[in-house]
Amino acid sequence: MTEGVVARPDLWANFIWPAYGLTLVGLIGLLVWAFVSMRSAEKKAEESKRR
Amino acid sequence: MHRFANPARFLKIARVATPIVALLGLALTAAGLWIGLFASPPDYQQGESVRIMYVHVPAAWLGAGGYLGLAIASATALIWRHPLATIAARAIAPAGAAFTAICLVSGALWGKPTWGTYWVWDARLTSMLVLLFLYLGYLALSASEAEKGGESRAAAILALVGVINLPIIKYSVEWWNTLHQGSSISVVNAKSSIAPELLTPLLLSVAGFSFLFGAIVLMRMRAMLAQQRIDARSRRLAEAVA
Repeated sequence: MTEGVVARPDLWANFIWPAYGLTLVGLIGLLVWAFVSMRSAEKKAEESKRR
Repeated sequence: MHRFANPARFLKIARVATPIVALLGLALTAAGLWIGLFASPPDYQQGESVRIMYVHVPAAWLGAGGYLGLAIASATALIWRHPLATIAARAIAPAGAAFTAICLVSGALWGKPTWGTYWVWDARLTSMLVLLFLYLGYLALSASEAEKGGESRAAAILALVGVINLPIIKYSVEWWNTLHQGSSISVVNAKSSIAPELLTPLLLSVAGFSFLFGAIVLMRMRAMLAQQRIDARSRRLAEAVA
């Protein structure tokens, strides 16, 4: 079912895929950035506590 | 609320809540977007382009709702000087800015096939653009104040002044003759003019985006609290050496 939908020209013509692609890149990018910055800061805080 | 203003207690709760909120966000967003793309019918008027609604509307609601959260946190920081309020405001701002940007970009992509143009200086579009500028202004000001060791008081005042834009966004489609359509959902009256087949994926996306927003804010707050602990230890060490 999904293969047919992905290839459908009307979804490209209506910018559905670019809109979803940009949104997902933005959301996942934000989540990854928040996660990496949290892990890195908490790791540094733990190391500074041990020192 | 005072109970949770204690950073140690907040961290204890946040460590448990972060993975749950993030996983709920990912699952609900995936379900909403999947149904929106593959299982919901096209709209009788908009056709396939209605599917952009499933990313555009949640992003718009969270962009505006996030700003309300930013303003409440800023007011709390200014009035009661809660230790977590400034951190909460600083954590909300990048997420709110990103969701507002997603709203503007997805709206532009919806506008081209529907209106024949990516952008018009319509009251709703312009007030959302102003919201993005308010977020960016807050981010720049709070980063500059944090660099100087300040409490982001000027940034908090900017956040409070910017609240005036929220009713303008909400009522722009009623106060002016806009190209942007009016509201299809009334949260206050719990009413919607959207067909249930289209409303279900929309509500799932709204719930998913909201949990993702919450997860990002929690992670940013944890990162900033960890950074504060590092800075405090470095200061104590420097004092001890001196």
